[in-house]
Amino acid sequence: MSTVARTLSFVGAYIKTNLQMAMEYRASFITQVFTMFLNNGMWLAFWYIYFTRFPILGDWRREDIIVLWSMLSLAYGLVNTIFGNVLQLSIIIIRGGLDFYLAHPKNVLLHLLISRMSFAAVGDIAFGLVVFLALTEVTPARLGLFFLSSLIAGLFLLAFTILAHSLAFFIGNAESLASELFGAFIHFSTYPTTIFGGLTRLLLFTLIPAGFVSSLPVRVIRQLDPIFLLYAAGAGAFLMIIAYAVFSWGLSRYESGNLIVIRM
Amino acid sequence: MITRRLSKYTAVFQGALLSNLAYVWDIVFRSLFLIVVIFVFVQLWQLTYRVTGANEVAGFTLPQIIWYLVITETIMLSKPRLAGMIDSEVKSGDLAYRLNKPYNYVIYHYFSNLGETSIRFLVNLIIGAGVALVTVGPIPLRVAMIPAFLLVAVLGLSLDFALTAAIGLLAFWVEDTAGFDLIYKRMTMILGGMLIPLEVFPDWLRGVAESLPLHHIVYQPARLFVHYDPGSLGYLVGQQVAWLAAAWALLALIYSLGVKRVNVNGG
Repeated sequence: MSTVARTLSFVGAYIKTNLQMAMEYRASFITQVFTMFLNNGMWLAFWYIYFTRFPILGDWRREDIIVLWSMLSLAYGLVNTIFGNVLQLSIIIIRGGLDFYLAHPKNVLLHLLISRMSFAAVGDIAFGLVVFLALTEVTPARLGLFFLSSLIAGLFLLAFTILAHSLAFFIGNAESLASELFGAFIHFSTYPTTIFGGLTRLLLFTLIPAGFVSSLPVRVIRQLDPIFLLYAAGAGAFLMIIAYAVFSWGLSRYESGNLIVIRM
Repeated sequence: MITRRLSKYTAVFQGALLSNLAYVWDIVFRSLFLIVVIFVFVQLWQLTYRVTGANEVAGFTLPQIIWYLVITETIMLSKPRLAGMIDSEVKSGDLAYRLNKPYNYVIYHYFSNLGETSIRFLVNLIIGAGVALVTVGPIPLRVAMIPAFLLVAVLGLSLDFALTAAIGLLAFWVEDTAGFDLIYKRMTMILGGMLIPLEVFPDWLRGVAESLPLHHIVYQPARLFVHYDPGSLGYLVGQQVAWLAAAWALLALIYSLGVKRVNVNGG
């Protein structure tokens, strides 16, 4: 079996186990999925109100914001369903929780990320798919671009979160800082890029690369700009490489906390 | 008798105030996200006013709408995690240990909550006002507005307390109240006017929002801050008091029914 096939089988086994665990607490799982669906729906309600009053915002229309929210929900949902530990990364590092993963012959970062699933994130996936299919114009091409854009957005989300939480290797208790950075990234991602200009725009395509994510609905799904698509995919992959390198560098500085963990 | 009763709750309020004051820098750090939120709102509304070419939208100038949002965000981000705390106290049995203490469980939480909210409110207001001053400048304010604003804001937060505590106490019957709490917060966010003033809503939705108590928590204090009207203050406060009385009655009912389900075992 090739390395890629072995890795996919490893990830698949974890997803299956995590889903089985979710099904053990079926009522709680369904409640979480439902509330997350409603949570995202309320944000969409804000934009419904806004665009009813102001139909055009720069080059953005109501449908673009619906696509943005459905794409981002799907991306967020996929990241937190498959790599459900990503938002706990700094806490795990600070508490010495990496010891368990270091003792296994698997990639530490991958193993750590996939060993938990956020049940609520399944609601984000459902929201993303339902809203895109029900409230936007669906053609095979647009559907393909929607999935592709969601994967690129997920890549940015995952890489940026790993980077933010890896600060815990270097500055100790980085939980609050990582949470603030993640919050800022998500917040900037959910607003049309067109509202930002000058220095902020530069920042959103460099230090906090949320601009790539929020540009996808207009530049890729509506206008099909192949240059931007390649540029965004390349930037996402580059950020992932940096995130992995920083995590690996941090891991070399990691000191065991002799924490005894019981996994059930 | 009343003074003595009140003094113990005043002590609870002071205790919460002082313990939060001890970690004020932690609160300041956690409030930095407000800078991002207000900054994004400034960008959004600046473009909106530019596109429409109007000086006023729904009766708000650009600086007024930003100051309105500073107040709504200040209120929403100042609220402690109350429902979750009560939920865990019910489930862990901690509530049972408090029943024989010389205070009322709900009133204790009210004053403790008010103490924590006060510090957060002040910090958020300073940070939010700072961003607004730098980006859109000041708006004309009347000194007489300040006590009126504080009264309406405290009444709104008290109403929010009653509704949130009632949600937390539902833990007597349901396994997890986090979902209800999230839905309540999101409804306050939209129908309470946190993200956008009610004047911008389509008529039908504005009617729905105004028939619910949520706009008294966020929209009314923020609107009063930017559009102070002494003539309508009495009516507004009267409405808030009526909703508050109804919400407290509901809270008292849920509490009294819930407490009957508490089983205390020795050991």
